[in-house]
Amino acid sequence: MYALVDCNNFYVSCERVFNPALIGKPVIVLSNNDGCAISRSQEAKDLGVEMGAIPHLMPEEMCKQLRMFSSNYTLYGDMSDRVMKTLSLFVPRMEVYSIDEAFLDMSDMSYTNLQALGVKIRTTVLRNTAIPTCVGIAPTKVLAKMANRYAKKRVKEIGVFAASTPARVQQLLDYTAVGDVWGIGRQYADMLVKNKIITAADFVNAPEDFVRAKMSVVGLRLQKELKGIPCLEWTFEPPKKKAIGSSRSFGSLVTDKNIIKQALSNYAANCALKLRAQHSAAGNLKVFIHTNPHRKQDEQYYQSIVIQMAKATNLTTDIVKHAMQGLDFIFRPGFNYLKCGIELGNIVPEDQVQFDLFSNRDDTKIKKATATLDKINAKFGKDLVRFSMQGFQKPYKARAEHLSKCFTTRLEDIIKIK
Amino acid sequence: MQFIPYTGMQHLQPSSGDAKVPTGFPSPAMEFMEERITLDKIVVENPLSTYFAYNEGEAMTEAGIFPGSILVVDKALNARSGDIVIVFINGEYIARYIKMSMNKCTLWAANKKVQPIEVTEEMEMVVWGVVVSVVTDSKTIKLCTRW
Repeated sequence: MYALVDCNNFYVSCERVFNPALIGKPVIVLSNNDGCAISRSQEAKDLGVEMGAIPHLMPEEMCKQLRMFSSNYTLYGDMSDRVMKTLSLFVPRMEVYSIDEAFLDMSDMSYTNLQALGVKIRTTVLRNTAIPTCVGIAPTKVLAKMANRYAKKRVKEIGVFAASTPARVQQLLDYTAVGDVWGIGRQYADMLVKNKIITAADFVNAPEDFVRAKMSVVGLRLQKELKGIPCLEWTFEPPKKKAIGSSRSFGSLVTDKNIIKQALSNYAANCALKLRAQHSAAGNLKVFIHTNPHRKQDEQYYQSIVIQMAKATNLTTDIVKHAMQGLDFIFRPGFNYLKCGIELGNIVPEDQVQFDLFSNRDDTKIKKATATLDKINAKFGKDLVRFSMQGFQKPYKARAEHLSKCFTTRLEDIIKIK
Repeated sequence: MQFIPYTGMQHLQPSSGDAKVPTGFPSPAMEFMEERITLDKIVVENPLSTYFAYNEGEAMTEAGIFPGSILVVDKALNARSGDIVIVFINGEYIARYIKMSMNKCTLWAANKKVQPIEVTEEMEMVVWGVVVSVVTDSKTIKLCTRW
């Protein structure tokens, strides 16, 4: 059993803890350098403020009603630690996924009432930190994310949904569109909808051969997770062994997922080439993306995912496909990405590859095509990767005109009692 | 024996790995060492829900809360009638005794010059937390009590 706990509008919620006058009002928190909105209260969302909205481009009417804050990471970091420490009181193992989200591993515990437990977790975080959260509990990580989203959208006042029975899981599957399933990106969603697979429930019922053919083994594992079978084949821990990798920093920052996809395809192809050159095959693949830590004015994001292959491979098609699927899990819009990359691990000699029991795929054609592709690939890198290799902009003092105080870390900033 | 910087506890803890025991022999106190008392241990029961506030006003001087006192506030506790609480009301933080009965909620000061507040819904009062300790340095006490 897993719980996915995430904080509602985290940065705004942190500001509200120490300034209750902000409760119920439209409030936004701006990215470093007061660039754009990275956190919005529900009232701000209702006003029409989009994620990433730029303050000086907003209509005046909107601006007048908004309370804006610069990001105060000192404060948010401390509050995040309090939230995570509170969560750790409930479980022996958890995975902190971001500053405001964590997966809780509840597999060793026998709780009779998971919904009540979820409510207890939410209430305790609220009591300790005054930060509202949503809790999704389900037999797998993908379902827990789904349950969390359901809690947020359908049972907002309670904020907790435990999919502890098959009926409750079915509720989630019927409610969620395929495009809203964690790990199914837009293109796969479009393909599924074209094939009359609209909801997650439809996806669960789709024939395995179809899923394997269209979405490869990663799609199959998603299907398994939605069926309630945890697949440990993806983790957010990087592999420790030495690996074949390919990555590059973009010359100018990238926000468009399609550009990242293009870059990753190239890196994947490069890696596959290296593998074939040394007659090896890779058993797993890691995809990572991150922002530029030296650009203090940018909101920071780093995430990676490791995907286990059904069988070790060095075929470009396989590696590119899995890389794209990995990206679907970790890409988040609204960030200025600096770098993306691939790392292949669990490398074995080509002739020692174990068979995938379920695949009837005949690889001879693909291997022939790959040889041709190798010739093209040599040129690929020069043509497609059109990013300039200029240096980064000079770092400068970030603008922060609306910074709140460090209420929990600086004695001079603690709240004043009149 | 060697001359090395003393960073603390070196001769009083069992040596780990290559760390040399500066005195050359284990201290008789080694097995009995305990953690020193700190202010956190005295006033902070739940660090995850404990926050600090700086008192500026004189409304609670008769309760020993002076301008300059630092209040230790626990946000996780449910305020009970008679507790000293921090409330956010009319756009600012104040410290008062809270008295709750049937349908009424009143905030009492510990200062004859300060009037009690009858809380109404329009005030949008938020109980921010319960004051569990007051830390006042002697300079402040001497200043405020003018003995």
